[in-house]
Amino acid sequence: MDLQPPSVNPGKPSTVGVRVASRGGYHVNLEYPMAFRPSPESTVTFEGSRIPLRPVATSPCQGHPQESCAITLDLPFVAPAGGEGRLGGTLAFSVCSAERCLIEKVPLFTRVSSR
Amino acid sequence: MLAGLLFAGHALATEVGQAAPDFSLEDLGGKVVKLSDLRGRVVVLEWFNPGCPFVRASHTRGTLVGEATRQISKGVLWFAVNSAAPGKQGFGVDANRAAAREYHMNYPVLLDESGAVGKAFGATNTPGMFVIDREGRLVYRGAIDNSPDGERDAPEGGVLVDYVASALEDLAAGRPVRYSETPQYGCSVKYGP
Repeated sequence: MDLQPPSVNPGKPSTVGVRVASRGGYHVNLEYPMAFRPSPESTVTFEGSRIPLRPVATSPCQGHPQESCAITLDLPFVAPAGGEGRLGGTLAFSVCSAERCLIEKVPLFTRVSSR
Repeated sequence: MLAGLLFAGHALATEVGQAAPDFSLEDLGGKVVKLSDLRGRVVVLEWFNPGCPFVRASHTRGTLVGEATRQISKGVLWFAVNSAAPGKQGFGVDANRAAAREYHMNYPVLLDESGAVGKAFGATNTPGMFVIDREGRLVYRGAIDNSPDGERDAPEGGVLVDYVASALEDLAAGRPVRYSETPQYGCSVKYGP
């Protein structure tokens, strides 16, 4: 999983792209309600304590095009009006293989800058 | 007869509203439970797999916490059913016994290793829920609730609905079941080839 450079509008709604890629025979479980829970340490603002997320892009698995092995999520937030901010929390998603499913809750952290 | 059925989603599964398929399955202690012996009682079947994280979520943080105990106290019969085939995730007495203990499941876990019963009922996911009325009709098939994370944190439409409790309330009140079929969510049932 990796974070893309945030698209920051000072004091206004902004987004950061989160890419989730599965491996080892797993695919992303698109039926799972993916969501981000901000941590108290975040200094950017979110709308709510739980942010539902839907993929804005998906990439098929090699050999299994009906399944997605990578997805991109756009995480919305409000950037600070000036100076730097901290964006952190936990991303919940699920991946499955033919044998099992996993529910993952992964910490995310990045710094954002309005300058 | 049931073992001869081919499985293609719900293609040959019992329709909701029809007689639930009879079965005889053993629990973890080897005691046989025969569905037709339970005629006259409301029965809940919970498709279960101890290795499934959605089952774990529902039993530790979700709608299944205490649910069976509440319903059993009202006279409902509640059984878990595991249709995992040999070698598949969640197969075996020991794994099921350990999970039942961990989740405080004070009801039998029935083993359907051939998967015939699961296929006859149209069980596709765990946890998958089925409600059978006193006349032996299947009146509900689907999810435990409308929050497919298993933790009640993501209710569709913003309001949590406990589909099984709702169906049981409807039966107790003598009215038609409002939610008779919903999409099952969770891990796939680990049928054999």
